[in-house]
Amino acid sequence: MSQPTTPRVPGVALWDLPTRIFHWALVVLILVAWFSAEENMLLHRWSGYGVLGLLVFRLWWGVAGGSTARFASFLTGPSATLAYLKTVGERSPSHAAGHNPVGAWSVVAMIAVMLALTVLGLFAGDIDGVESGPLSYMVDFDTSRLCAEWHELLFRVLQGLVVLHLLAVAYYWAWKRQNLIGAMITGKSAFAAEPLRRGRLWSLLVGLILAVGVAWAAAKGLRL
Amino acid sequence: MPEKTSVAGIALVLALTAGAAVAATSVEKAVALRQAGYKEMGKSFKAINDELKKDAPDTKLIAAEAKKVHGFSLAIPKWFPKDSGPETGIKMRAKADIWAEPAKFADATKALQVESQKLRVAAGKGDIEAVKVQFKATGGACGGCHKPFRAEEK
Repeated sequence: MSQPTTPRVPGVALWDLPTRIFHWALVVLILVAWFSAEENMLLHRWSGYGVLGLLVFRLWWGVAGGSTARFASFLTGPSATLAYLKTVGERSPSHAAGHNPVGAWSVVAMIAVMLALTVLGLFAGDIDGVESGPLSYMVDFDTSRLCAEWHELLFRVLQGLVVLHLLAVAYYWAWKRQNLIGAMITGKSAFAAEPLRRGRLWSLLVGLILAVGVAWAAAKGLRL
Repeated sequence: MPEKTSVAGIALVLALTAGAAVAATSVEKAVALRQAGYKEMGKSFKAINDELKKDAPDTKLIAAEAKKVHGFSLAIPKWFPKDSGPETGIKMRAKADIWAEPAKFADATKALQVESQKLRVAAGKGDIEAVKVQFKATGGACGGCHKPFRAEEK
């Protein structure tokens, strides 16, 4: 009782392990896909299947995972987004339990762009007809080229979104004195308003089966 | 036999480009013919590749497309007449090195002709496993010329 109250709140659980593994595995695989593009297409395709599996898992976890991973918990309407934007310049940590209302839209945009570009990659083919995604046999030459061009274009869009994401993380670090990277590594935050409610084990297993199943089917060109 | 397929390849490309190149100059025609030829070769390659991904590839289709690929490879030396390079100002990925280093370009072309001939033979026999191996080798021969002589896409 006589202990002085510490200004630091002990870390509370914020991001569950599946969400953190999703995040960092995605970072690695996107980098692998980026640098293997047009250099090592076998590796490029495999990293793409990995990204597809991760995205499928994340979509499932977004409806049936831990509380802070659920889309319903962090997607807000325009008024809440605007209200948050008004406070974002304040020099104090944000107490949003997980994604803040603005970051939420960034997350959705990145997932949507990655999903679209990954699916386009499945149908893409190179100009020589030599290298191709596993589903390119379903479309003609010109369509496979169009898919390849949009695949590349959307990757540029993703690069832009990732730069915004990194700038936002840097802003929170420097201006708001909030370490978002540490939270995504340890899963703990000193600032979360309400702690994480973890997802169920069966839900995790269903998500893993879905992810592996979709990635495998795509890699096999949907010939099972 | 190779001469016959070569003629067939050229005739096919000519037919394909004839309509589009009516009012063009001879240089424009040469470039259009070349680009249409490579596109057709890409389509043939894709058609073979698509079949190879199937459980039961259509060996007849593969044989026909492999024959076309080889025919196109034999036509390549005629696709690069003098003064049809990037100096024309026409949008193209062909590098000036093709005309600056004709011996090197001829070697690269020859490599494709050799590999695509093997592909044609394997496809003619309907030997899918041999086609798979030779498809990679032929694709490698394409790359052997594209690396030094084809500019990056702008």
